[in-house]
Amino acid sequence: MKMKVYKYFLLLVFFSCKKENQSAAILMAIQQNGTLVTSEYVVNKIIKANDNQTWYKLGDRKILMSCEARIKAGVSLQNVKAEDVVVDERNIHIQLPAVQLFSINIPPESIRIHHLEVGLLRDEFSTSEREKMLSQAETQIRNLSDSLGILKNAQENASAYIMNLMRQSGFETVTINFKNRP
Amino acid sequence: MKNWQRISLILVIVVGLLLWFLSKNSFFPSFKKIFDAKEVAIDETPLLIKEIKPLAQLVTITAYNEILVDSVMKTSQGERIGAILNPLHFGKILTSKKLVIIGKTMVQVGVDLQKLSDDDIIISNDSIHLALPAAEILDIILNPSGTEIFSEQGSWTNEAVVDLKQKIQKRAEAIILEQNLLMIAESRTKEVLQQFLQSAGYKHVTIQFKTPLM
Repeated sequence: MKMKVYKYFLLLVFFSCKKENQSAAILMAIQQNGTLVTSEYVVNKIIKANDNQTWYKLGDRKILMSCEARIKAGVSLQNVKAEDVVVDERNIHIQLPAVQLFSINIPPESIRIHHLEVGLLRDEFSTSEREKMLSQAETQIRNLSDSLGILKNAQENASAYIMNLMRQSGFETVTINFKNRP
Repeated sequence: MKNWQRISLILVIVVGLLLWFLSKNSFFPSFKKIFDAKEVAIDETPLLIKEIKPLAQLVTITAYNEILVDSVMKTSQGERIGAILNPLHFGKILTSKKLVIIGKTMVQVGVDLQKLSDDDIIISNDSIHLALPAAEILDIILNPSGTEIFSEQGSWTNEAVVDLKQKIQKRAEAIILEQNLLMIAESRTKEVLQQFLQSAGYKHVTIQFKTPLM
């Protein structure tokens, strides 16, 4: 009897082993740019949802998740043209393009499920449903990112960095201004 | 045909035409829509700023990849018992579960200019020489909007999904290295900075890259 249980245990361990199949990858596109990223905001977002809107499903489902987003902003140096820079001996004036939001990164490892409540007659939230909710959270983060003041911060940092670089390069007076956002 | 019969026939035709016209113009909700499950909408919640970091990253290459990964696992005994007990599964027992994810990644490659020190800039009259840090991968982004759950059988924990997504990110990193994109990023960095510094009045701009620390 003991031997039989042992055999079943071994079989269970064998079949429980995770099997990775293959991965396929395509390099879709390469974009050349020249953006000086000068500010990163790390923000936390709470994602909560209550699934009780489908009339024929009995029982509710609730989920509480959280994620972190890394928002970057900067200035495109490749758009700086010769006429945007005025040099007068040891003085320089640079007009930089408007600062813009560069990227939003939600690292997968920052996604956490804190609370789950599933009614007796309901299925658990599937991976696909969780991804759709996270995608909605990403849109909310994108829409709110301007209000965080990241563009102002990125502009100040870009100004300070280029001023410092120009002073190191031997200029005495450096003035920088930014074009208006379109 | 009697008078009342003629009126009834006309009435039936008119009502039929009216119903056809209204349904054609989506006036009535379709039968399928009535039984469509409503998408779960998340609540609006504020963002909490955790950290503000000043950066000086010159991103010169952004690469976009599409990567597919899958994972097959035997279901645990607990999951099988759970499936038997669940009335919604109608006795359907999965002996294995499968998850296929297609991830669209965005990889930022460039130079971290915060690593530039005073000694790395040498100026003499109208010439400038920069010794820049080697190009590196600055970010590998795989966001939920770029994640497609292509196929899903069985129930998957958040940890297992995170594990698969990290595999996608590692594959994206490997593609950058295989395709020699660090070298391309360095030559693009040279172009951008040369153009910028020449606009600032330097006639001779030389840029070299330090070898990466292993």
